[in-house]
Amino acid sequence: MQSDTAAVIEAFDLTKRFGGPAEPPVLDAVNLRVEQGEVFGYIGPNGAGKTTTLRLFLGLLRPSSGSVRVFGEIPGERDELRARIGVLLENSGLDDRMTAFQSIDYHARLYGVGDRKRKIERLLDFVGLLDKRNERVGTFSTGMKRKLGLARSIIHDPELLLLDEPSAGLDPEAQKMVRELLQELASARRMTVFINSHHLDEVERLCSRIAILHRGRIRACDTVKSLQAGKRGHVRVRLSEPHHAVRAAALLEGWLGPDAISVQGPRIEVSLNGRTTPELVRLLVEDGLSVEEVSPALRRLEDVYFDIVGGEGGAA
Amino acid sequence: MKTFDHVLTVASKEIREIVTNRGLVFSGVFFAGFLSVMNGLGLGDADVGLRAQLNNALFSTCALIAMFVGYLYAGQTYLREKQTGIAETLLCAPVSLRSIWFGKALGVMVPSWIIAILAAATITAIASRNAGQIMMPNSVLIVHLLVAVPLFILAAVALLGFAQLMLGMRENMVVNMVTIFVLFTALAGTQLIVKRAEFVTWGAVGLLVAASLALLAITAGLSRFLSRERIVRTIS
Repeated sequence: MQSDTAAVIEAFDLTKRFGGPAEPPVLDAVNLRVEQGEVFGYIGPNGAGKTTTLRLFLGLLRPSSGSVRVFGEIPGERDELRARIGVLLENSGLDDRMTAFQSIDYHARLYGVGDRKRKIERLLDFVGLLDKRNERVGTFSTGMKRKLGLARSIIHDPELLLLDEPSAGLDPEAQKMVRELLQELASARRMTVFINSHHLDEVERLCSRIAILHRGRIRACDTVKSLQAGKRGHVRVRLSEPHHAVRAAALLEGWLGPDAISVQGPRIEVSLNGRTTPELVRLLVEDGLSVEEVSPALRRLEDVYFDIVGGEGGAA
Repeated sequence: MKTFDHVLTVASKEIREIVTNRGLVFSGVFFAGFLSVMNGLGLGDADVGLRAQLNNALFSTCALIAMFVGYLYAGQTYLREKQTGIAETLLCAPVSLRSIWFGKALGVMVPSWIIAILAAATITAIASRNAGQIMMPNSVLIVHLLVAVPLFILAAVALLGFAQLMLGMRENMVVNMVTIFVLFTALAGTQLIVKRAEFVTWGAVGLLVAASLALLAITAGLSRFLSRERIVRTIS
């Protein structure tokens, strides 16, 4: 998907092998483009290569073949490039013996952040940990560590935020907080966010585009809506009087066959089997049923995901 | 200037980590205290004078005590961070690998050196008690303790830290065992030389300084082979 906006991340046939050429690649010819201000979801089962991809973006690993550019540069060539990137890895990377304040302050110093005290306190307040500023990280719950890790990852106002399972171990309230925080970072600050996640609900709510990775290859990459649109010729019918759904379903079954119809509460999902939407509407109206809406049937992201990865998903 | 700031930031963090870790401070002080007391009590029963024995002991034992403490602290600084994944987040910062590696070595050197000075004070106090008079280290030893010992610890820790970052966990277990063996053999060896004729000279101190600087230079050269990929791939 090419566009006029600036590419923040570009991967061209990105391949990574651990071991000899005979070993199967962990990442196999991945092509990817993430644009400025995008919230991009990267999903796949364990071992699909998500963390390896992130490490390649960070310059922690070198590609076996292909290439990757972050802000037009090869990651790992200049230390300064890292100053433009914020990172929260799956392991939050916090030292249990440091206090919350010290944890962020340490990174702020390494990133050359000025006016540190004010910025750190503002961020701690933002993630709800200001009253814990002098407590050791070792006493924190997983959720608190995640929030602190997120605060640390944005202390230097990065242009790109790379997150590995940002909601791992968080309770629903904290997940919501993280989601809102990420939404704000993306919209208000125009920060580009790349999220590795198992959490399909989170990805669906947050991301404008997603890629589904399976066995080292990208199997699908598109907007969430496009992926959910699924097969052509599937529509969702909503009647003005929901209690007529069963009657309408029976009528459509007679017309299209029983396998083409699925009743979901007041809605009926219809596989048109070559027929057209106007024909469908005419049939229902002629039978005295009032149609309120006919829309393309969107599949749940979970269904899309499992269609692609089969039974190996393991996503939440 | 930025590199210097990074080194200092990493070093000051490591110093704070070590001095606020009671277990680590206790193990270092206990080991140094035990060895220095044993050394101090062992002085006196030999043909050479007590002064010569004290100088010999301060020269050899203090450097080895410092190195052992440095070894203990390096494990916490390099290996623990690598095992717990803290190191990977640090590798994502805009800091050169050499700054991280050297900053950590500096951070380990400072508390190890302080403990070595305390060990020297303990040995001197015990020797003074045995002699019935206050015995002070001579100028050669003062230079040794203030210049050669910290350089020696820095070089040893930098080499150890390099190995810990470079190697996988299994190889590191072997390195640790070899290091402990070498240290204990060297400590036992000092008992044999302490009671011989005094060997503490400007030349000996100069030799130790030169050897430490050479080791540091060699390790700095070797650190070119250190890469983020190497560290990340040897984490587990």
